[in-house]
Order: sequence, then C-alpha cells, then structure tokens
Amino acid sequence: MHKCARCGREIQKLDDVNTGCPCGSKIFVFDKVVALSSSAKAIEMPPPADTQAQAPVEMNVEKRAEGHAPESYFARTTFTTEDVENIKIVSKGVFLVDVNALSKSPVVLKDDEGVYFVKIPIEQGGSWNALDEPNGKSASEKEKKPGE
Amino acid sequence: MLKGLLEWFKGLFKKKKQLSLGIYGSPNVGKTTLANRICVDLAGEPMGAVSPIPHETRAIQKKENITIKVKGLKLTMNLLDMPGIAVKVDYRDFLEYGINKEDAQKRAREATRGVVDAVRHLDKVDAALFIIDATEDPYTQVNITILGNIEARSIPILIVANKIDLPNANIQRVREAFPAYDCVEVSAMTGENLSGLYKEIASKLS
Repeated sequence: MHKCARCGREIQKLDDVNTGCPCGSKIFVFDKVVALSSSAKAIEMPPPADTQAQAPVEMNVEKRAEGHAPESYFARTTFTTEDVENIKIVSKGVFLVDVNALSKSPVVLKDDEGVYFVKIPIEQGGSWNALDEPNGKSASEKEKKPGE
Repeated sequence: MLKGLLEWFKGLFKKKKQLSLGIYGSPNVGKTTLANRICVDLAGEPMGAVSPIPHETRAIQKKENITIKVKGLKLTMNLLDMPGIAVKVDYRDFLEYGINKEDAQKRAREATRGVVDAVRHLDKVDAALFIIDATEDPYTQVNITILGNIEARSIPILIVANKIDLPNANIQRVREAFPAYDCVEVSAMTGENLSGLYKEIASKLS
C-alpha cells in the first residue's frame, strides 16, 4: 500500500502515484505490512494504455503452438530414449530437465518440434561438468590469447 | 602427393598402433567431401554421401582399419567423419530443399543427436582436422567453442580452410581469425592443395 509521504493519504489507484497526491506531494512510501495484511484492499490496476501492445504476445503464443510437439509429448514427465533433448518446455515457464543426461552431454533444449538449441560446454580437465572456466575467461578470450 | 601423409602416419604409428582422426566443423563446410578424398586416396573408396542440404551426415561415419604400408611398417587408422556441429537446428531450414515438414522434423532430431555425439566423441579422437568454409565468416560460436574444446584436451589440431576453388574464398581471414593454429587451404571438391594438407599434417604431427 502506497501512502503519501506528506499527508499520509492511502493511494487507491496506481495512476495517482503518477499524478501525485491531492495535497501536492509526489513522494510516496510503500507500507509493506499494510499491503500484505488481508484487510488491505487490492490496488486497482489501470487498464493497459495501449491494448494493441499486448496483441503481438498473444499472436506469438498461437504462432508457436502451430509448430509445437503433440500434447502427448508435453504430458510426459520423463525422458525416453527417443528424446534428443535434455531440457524440454513442458508449458509456458515450466521446464523438465534430464539431470542425468546433462552431466554427460551438451545442453539441448527443445523449443518446437524439430527446433533445437544446443549449448556446447567449454571442457576442462576431461569433464563435461565444467561448463565454465574457473577464471571466468570465455572460449573466445582463450582463443585470442596466443595470437596477441 | 601421399608422401607427407605417409610420413605423418609413420610418426603416429610409433606412438600408437591404431589412431582415430576426427574431422570436425560446422554443417556444409565440406567434411564429408574431404573424408571421401582421404578415403579414396588410402582405401580406394569414398566414405559417405555428400549433399547441399545441411546435416546430411547425421551420425558419425567411421572408416576403420585404413591401412597403408611404409617401408615395411603396417599402419592402421580409423577415420571419423563427424556430423556438422551447430548451436541451433531448425527443421524449417530444410523445407526450402523440398523436404516435407515431417521428414524435416525427423532430420532435425537426428541432426541434433549427431551434434551431441560429435561433441561427446571429442574424448575419443587422437587428432583432429577442423574444417572451416573459407567463403564464410570464421568468427562463429561453433568454431571458437569446438576449437577451445579440442585444445583443452591437448588433441593435435590442424585447421583446414576449405572451398578455395570458390571466388569469394578468403584464406587470410581464416588465418587471422585463428592465428594460434596451423592452417592449410584446400579444395576438397577439386583436390587442390591436398598435397599441401598432407605435408602440413606431417610437419605438425610427425
């Protein structure tokens, strides 16, 4: 809950933070205790200024769905021998990781059906577990070093 | 023409009776074409099919027991033609070659598995030829990362700048990109400077 730093008035709409308090102050403090209490009213969220701005996101989701694997694939919670990937996107923001495979192979993320991303680890000392150089140097830095 | 190569094999033979030579690089840089050249030279027959479609080689092709005889020594090696290594495999890239969607998706899955196998196989090769398309920008994530991995394993590397028969080939750009490595320019397609490749290999590893 935001309160005016001068008069203590509680802000009901986020727009008021932008326009300022009727008392003239534009400085507000956020009261975490009040905000988290069950009695606190939820601040009314203003509608998006430009409703068209969100449209491309929805279109992208639908567009992506066109190339996605069958639902049966995403319903699985395990990896099979058919799977090339060791990370799969189960749903938006939800990932399934084959930890065992990751310890032995490059990271392979399956996006859509037939679309894969591969992260090739930087090896050191014969172990694929070492994904990064201990001193933070990248492969490209390492590459340039001898020729400098 | 084969003199340099034979000398190189002779040197390696002293260290190990049977060695594995891996041919690495991005898709469509000419790995299989070069592998075929070497196989024809040493075994009298090519190794695998070549194609303008990326990821034609999706599994490690192995030519075992390629044997040559040098001054009474019998030298045997395994030549490994690796799938092209890429950081992204997208089935839509295959559609323009007339492959239908289902087959393209299958090809993408196989190609990705090939990438994984090729990377994991770095632990098993004794020496590596790293092929770079001299007509393309050599500063790629794949080139830098794979070369770093090969070097980290102390595997002898020779960079091969391929496709010098094409007018837009830029050998100097490849040399400048990776000055720490020996580099030899060839055309696996026409066979140009293959003798130079063999000589370079011999001087580097024998």
